[in-house]
Amino acid sequence: MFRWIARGLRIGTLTTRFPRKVPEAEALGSPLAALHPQGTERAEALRGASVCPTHAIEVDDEGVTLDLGRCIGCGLCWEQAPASFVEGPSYGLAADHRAGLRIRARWGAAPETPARRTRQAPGVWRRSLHVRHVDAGSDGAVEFELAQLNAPQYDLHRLGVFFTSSPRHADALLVTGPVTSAMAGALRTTFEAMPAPKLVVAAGVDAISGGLWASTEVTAAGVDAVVPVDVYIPGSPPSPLALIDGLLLGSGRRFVALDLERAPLEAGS
Amino acid sequence: MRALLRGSELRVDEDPMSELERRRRSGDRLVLLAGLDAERTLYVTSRRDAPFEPLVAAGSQLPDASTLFPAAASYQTEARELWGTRFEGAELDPDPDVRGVFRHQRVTSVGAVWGASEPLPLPAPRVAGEPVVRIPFGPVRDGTVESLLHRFHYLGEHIVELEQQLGYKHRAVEVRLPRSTIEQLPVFAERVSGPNGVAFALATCQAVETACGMTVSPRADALRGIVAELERVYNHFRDIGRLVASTTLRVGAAQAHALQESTQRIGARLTGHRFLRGVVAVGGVRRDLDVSGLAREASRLEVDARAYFEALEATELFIDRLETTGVLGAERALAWGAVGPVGRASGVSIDARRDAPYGAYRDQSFRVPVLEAGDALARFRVRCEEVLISLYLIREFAETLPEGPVRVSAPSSLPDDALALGWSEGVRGDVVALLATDRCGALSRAVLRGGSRHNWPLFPDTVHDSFLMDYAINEASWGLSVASHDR
Repeated sequence: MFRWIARGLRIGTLTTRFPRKVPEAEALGSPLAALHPQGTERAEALRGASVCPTHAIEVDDEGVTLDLGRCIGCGLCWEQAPASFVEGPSYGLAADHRAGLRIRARWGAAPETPARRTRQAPGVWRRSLHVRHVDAGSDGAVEFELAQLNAPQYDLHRLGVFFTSSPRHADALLVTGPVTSAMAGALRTTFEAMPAPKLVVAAGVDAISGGLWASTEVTAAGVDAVVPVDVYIPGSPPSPLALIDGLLLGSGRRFVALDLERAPLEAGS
Repeated sequence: MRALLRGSELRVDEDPMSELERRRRSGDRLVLLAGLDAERTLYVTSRRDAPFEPLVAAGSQLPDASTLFPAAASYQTEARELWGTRFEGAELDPDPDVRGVFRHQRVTSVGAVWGASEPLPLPAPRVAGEPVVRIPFGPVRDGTVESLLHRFHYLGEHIVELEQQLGYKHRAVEVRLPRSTIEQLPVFAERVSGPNGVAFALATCQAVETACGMTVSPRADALRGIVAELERVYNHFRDIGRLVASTTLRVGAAQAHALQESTQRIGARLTGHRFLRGVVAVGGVRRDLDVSGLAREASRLEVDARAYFEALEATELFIDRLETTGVLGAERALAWGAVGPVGRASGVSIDARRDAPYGAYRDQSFRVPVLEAGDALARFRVRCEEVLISLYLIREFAETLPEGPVRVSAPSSLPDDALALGWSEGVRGDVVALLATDRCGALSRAVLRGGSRHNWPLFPDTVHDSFLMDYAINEASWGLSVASHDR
């Protein structure tokens, strides 16, 4: 055992300073699309919409809407229509209402950023939030990222967030996957077994809208169809930073989480 | 290699048994059995020198192939559920561990009605007697893991039976796939089993390239090799970490997480994505990658990995827990053609990179670690070896990266009336992609079979007559993906 402690001491501290700072090396995640900051153009936007496998891009007479709740970050749009779409961030996108994931831009104008606000939540959640995870048909990648939250680099416990086995002990239900028909019952039972007040987090594009597997013969179009969702974390899969950001938003701590103006990129760490 | 069948080859009307028997005698294993439609079933077998040999059998009533290849049983169950194909004599499951796979309702064509709404009730337990205690575990399980149901039957401290029910995560992937464009195919494939996305995309793209007769540039092949090996490394660190955690060695588990994170960050710097998505494309790779510094990073990671593995090997408490836990016998593993690290830890020397080389592996020689013991320790050691070999391969690919274009343009349509196979060696065994087109050249059937699909039916047998603590270690040592099985 002593050997392991010595090894640990030798390795030193690896833990991120997120959400206080966003070191550049960690900010690399699994990016989603974003609308071009200099404005979008109709023909290009239509081309982007035609290659998008999840119909995340909607074009109308006045402008274009990008739904981050559908975007899987495949990159086809920013590759095929680089003047209207760019590679966007992979975190700091969580929202407490579905419409907060829709980014809108009028032709030629910069995209309108949806208003972010601090969510009202019970005060005790700010210090301790116990999370029950339910996999309702994910592709397995989100589970990798959830497990990585316990890695020394992220160390979720430092923020007072814990994964728990029993739904009776859980404040939050974190769901991944589009909700397959075989998992719908188990998801509902887990939700009902939790004491109130309860927080439901849809993590990843599959959980928000079903993503690529929305509304097949055996899947729903996201968690909303089965249990009411409070916080949406976009991403395919959401990176560990995105998950932390969403959990902090859910527990009413947005004001410390991700404020890019106050958290400048820390280069090279 | 006959990875492409055209026209009349797809309408064989003969008894497949004599041909399958011949292949069995020459030492073939069954790679895949899949219904193409209600009238045709595809068998894919392979042996070391003549890999991936397809065979199409016609008819809705076929002989039971599981007498030759035990692995056929669960594939036949799936084909029966999906297409209504009857396999004579197979109505009584030859292996009690193989039960209804997805409980699909009968369908007449892909895209029609799939699936039921309720999980199949588990059959009545075969263990009788009053002191037997039944404990269901799942589908919502402890921790942040994928959904499946394991039901234990206890007699005192002993697990006398484990019932396994998969299919909770079934997303009807194969219904969606044929509706995508050729360009979107790898995007879909990457998201079938997320952490194994590169291998799935690679198999799919290679199937398309075979069908269209495309040649990928040497540079693209090497870049594909780099991301495929990076994927193997971070997955193996993850599986090793879960295994270490299951023995309650917390500090050791944290260090595996840290190594996994370092690997994923190397991948993110290289490709822009933590899961290396958006690299593999039909005809090559989507964009050129800057590999400067990658060889150095791989060397540094190798030093860390070596030190970590040595520390684990020197921890007797850890090694003791793995030894003789969850033994998969060599005979059974060979008969089933167990794939990936699980198979290689039980003496089954299968690795598609060596046996059916593709891309950059054609000019690369490397060792395939094979152990005989078949226990959790052997599976752990195979993974450790593979991490080091993969890091070596990454260095080799990066240092000898040829110049040149990275992508040839993809055709807008596939050849008509064709069936193409593509494969790659994924993290958990070989990944096989099957694409079939109709007479108009439209994709009519797509099957993606990952290594976990092949290995899951083997798992319950290794739990019989063990303890609950052993179960946790055993399950972690297999490191199988549920999403890849359920699709």
